[in-house]
Amino acid sequence: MPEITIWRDNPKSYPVLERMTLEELNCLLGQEMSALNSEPDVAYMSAIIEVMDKKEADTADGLRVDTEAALHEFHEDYQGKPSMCFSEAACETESSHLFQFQKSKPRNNSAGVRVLRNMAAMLAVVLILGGTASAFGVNLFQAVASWSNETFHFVFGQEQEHLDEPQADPFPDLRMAVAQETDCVVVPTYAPVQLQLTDINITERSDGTSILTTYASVRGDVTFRVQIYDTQPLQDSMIYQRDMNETRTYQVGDVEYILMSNNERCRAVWLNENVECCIQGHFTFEELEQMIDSI
Amino acid sequence: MPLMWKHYLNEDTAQDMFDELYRSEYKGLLRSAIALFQRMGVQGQTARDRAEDAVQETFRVAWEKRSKVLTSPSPKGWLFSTLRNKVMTLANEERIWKKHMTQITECETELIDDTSDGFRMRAELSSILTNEEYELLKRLYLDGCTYQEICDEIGMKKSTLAMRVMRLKNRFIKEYHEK
Repeated sequence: MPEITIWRDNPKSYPVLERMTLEELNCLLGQEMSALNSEPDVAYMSAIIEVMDKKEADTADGLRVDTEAALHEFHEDYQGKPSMCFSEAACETESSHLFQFQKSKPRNNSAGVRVLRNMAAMLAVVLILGGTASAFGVNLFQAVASWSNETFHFVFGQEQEHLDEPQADPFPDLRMAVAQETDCVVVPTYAPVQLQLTDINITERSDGTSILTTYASVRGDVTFRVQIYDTQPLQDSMIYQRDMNETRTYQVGDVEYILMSNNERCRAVWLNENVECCIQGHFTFEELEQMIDSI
Repeated sequence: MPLMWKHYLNEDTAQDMFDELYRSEYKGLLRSAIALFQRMGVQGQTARDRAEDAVQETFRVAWEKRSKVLTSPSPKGWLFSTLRNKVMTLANEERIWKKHMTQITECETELIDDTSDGFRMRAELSSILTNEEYELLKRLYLDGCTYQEICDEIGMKKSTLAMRVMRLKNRFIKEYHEK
């Protein structure tokens, strides 16, 4: 039988949270939850939740929860039963790496057998032709080998190099999506590695539109979030988590770009008019500056 | 991180451990799910209702994988990751069905003009959905009603309604694509 060990996550102390309002904490929690392609920072989220609980204890309109009733409902309706909430719609209409519905393709054994049979037939024909040619004094295999040597050659590492090369426009889909919402130019035309779009998610919010794109690259995932607000927000209202490494600012024109790192990834954050942008991935600060220069 | 206890898993112990995990994490997960739904544009009681579904679904999966979750060094981390996926999927489903229902409603509006396309689509839809079923989906996805509100109106248990809606949606998708 497996050995069970349960660990309790000790919430760290984040004094800055104490100074935030409930609304700000709620936004921060939502932002942490929506941070794709990274494991949730449980200690940080626990700290936010704890502060929210503490602050709400003093108010009448806090989140009221009957955990025992919810647990009873869980035992009655959910535990050991099939999902009640998810239809097949999501998987049939949309495809995303986030959604874990994947229909496995049935293996077609008869197709494999057919291929093997065809290969065996081709090999038999080649051997017969080779034998016949040999009888007439022609070394067919030598002729084929010479032709192959002149025609084909192996190129090692080309694919990898190709993936490391920058591409003409790394963000065409994001550029189009942003252009439908605003005239403000915020999308770079350069990325230091090839990016393959894996997901694009456009969400209409009460205060504007959020466009979140995810890319795959040889250096891991890259995310680019563009939030177009209905009214221009204050730069102070942007809240991002970062680690203890240095934060750098990079000024281009009137726009101040803030470069920071978190979870071993580097991130650039900026506000241009009413558009807030955040790009993060395994880049260096210098590469992020090059990307910013290409906007 | 202090070690709480070590022992061996059997069904009774697993149930006790699971219930304890549920009690300790339910509120935090619910709060997080509401915050994420709100961030994705779902507001008010609808956000709360959908968040409750997402949390229950998360624990449903956690129970299925209890031997893995309960032995994980951070069950909380697993719960938050799974909850995030559940909320994203639910929000996506919500968006898709809103789109479906909008199309159907627009089609009904076209009927007033008596266009042949509108008439044909209406005829196709009426063979898939009864008026009652159409109203149910409309209430959920266009009017933004919660399961609880509909349950209170028609006097049905939430789980029964959720199951009925899920079957209805699966049938609609299957038959609509076939047509």
